[in-house]
Amino acid sequence: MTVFDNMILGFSGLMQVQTLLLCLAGVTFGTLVGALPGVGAVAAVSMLLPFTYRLEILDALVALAGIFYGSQYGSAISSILLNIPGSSSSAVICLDGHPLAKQKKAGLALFISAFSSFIGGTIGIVLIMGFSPLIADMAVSLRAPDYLAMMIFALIASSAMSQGSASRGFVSLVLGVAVSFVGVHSGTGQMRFTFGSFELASGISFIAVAMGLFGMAEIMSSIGRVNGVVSDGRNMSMRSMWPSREDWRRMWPAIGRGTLIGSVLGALPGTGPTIASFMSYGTERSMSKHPEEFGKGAVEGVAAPEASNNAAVQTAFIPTLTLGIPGDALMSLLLGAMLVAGVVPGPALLNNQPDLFWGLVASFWVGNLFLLLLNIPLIGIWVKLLSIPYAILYPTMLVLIGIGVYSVNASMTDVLTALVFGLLGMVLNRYGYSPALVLLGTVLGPLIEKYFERSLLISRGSYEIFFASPISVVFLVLSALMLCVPIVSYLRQKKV
Amino acid sequence: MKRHNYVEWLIVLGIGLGLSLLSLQEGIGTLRRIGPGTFPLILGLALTLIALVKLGAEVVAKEPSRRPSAGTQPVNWRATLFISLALLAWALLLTKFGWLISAMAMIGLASMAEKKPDFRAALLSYGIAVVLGYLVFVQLLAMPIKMI
Repeated sequence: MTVFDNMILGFSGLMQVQTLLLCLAGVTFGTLVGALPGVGAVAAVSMLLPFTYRLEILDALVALAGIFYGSQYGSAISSILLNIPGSSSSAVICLDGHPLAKQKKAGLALFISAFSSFIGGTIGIVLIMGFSPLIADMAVSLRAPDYLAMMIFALIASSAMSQGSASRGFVSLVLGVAVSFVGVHSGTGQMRFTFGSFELASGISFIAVAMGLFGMAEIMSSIGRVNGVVSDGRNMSMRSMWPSREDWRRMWPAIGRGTLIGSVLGALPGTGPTIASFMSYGTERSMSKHPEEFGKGAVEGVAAPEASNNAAVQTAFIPTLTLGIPGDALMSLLLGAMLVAGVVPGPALLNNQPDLFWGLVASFWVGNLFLLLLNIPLIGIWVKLLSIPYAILYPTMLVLIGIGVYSVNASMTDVLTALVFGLLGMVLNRYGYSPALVLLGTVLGPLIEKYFERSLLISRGSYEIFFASPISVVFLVLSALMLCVPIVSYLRQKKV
Repeated sequence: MKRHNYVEWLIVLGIGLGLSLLSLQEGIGTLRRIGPGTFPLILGLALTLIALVKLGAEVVAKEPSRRPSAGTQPVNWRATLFISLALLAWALLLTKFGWLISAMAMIGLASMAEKKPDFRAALLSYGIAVVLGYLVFVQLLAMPIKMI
């Protein structure tokens, strides 16, 4: 069957009134819940997951996928307007999106975010359709050392984006990875770093870490500093949102590079939107003629990670659907929903249930279109959210953070964890460390450890395995080169 | 004012050494069968190394490096205390006394975070929290939360 035949098959399954309404409801709810400060994509999908159990499997997946990418966009809204990312992949948007909002350009930042997301997402879908068997084959042929090398490269590349020194970026990453050590060690099944606490046996909740580092720390540091309106929503017009010719000139290449990075990384199991958005941000910063503008409201700093994030969000479905390997926590939730419904994702899904696979892909088209149509006209409403006095907003945010953390595992330990990480986030911000890198380390830590151990298991303890594959060698060399960059710039500064 | 960053990197050194020592207690295993402490040990040692390098650089530097916190906002201790207390109170009260009481305690304490608490805003926030709690979390999302 050709791609065209597959899409006809997909759209024929999707063109039911109920399915289309569920797609619309999914993206709308996803955006709304994702936009709420402190309630991100993972919380949104997990909270709404039980409502889809009674639906037909295609309807359920279409709704969940809509919630998923809707909440991804919603997370960007709270990142830009309030500096509170709902998901790790949108944490990087805070770096330039929020400064733009503070410069009364929130409308512009949200427009760039929506537009870049649409382009990235659309190209991601085209790639799923055209290249899904090819990319799936490529991902299958990769081995543990290749994944390890790619992840090491992603971590080192992302530490380059940390404000201030690379050494503080590295320390932030290691702290994040150390957080992920708490709980059961996947290789041996032994408990570690739990200090005898039963509550810590299942590890430290990623949601609690994210909401603490960003939500709690933001509230604590904003009180007395943010008075009411951060951005003026009263004069929000389409004209004020529309990027200037210079903005467009800078956006397009950033969107292109971001989409490319996102499409490739999203398709690889274990990487996904978070690494993609961080890596595309690092790439833009390193390629920019004005790296000093990054962190202060560079349009590329919003466009590239958003395009990358959404391209990755789409292509992340490839390993999940074709291999049964989720790329991140959100994909794990979707995988779980499929298993509950009796559908086993894997290579057989594409052959045995093509209507389901291609129906879902068709829903991505419709969902992305819904998102664009919903979000561009509603930008003014999102910006007007900021005209709410902070004295009303922050207690409400605190309530949402509390319930958002609690809702995931119904655990008060998670709420207290969020508090601890809130305090930590404040200290990190104060001393020039990066909470975003702590979060990235927390997400990637277990995966890096898994691939490290698996590699040594395969090679029977020989380190040669890390240099046996060309992919692994390329990424390790690139990592080493990136490590040399701060050393070279330090030596240059000394010379001057 | 420029100062040496000894304390900062001594803290990092402490964390690195602490992580390394704790990792040794978890068990290192062998190269063929990695123990739960191996990977944490590698990272602990990396942290220790970077701290030693930075400390060494500070010692030999003719001029002290710039304070990392220069230009950042000072810590708002009052906000930190009351926001922490607010979340703590909510966590302790929710399961025993329900949403209405726990949200009231949380918002009441949170409003004290400002030097001049705005009790009208707090009341409005409480109203929003009650409506959100009942309509969204209890009714729409069917979360196992009791109102009273």
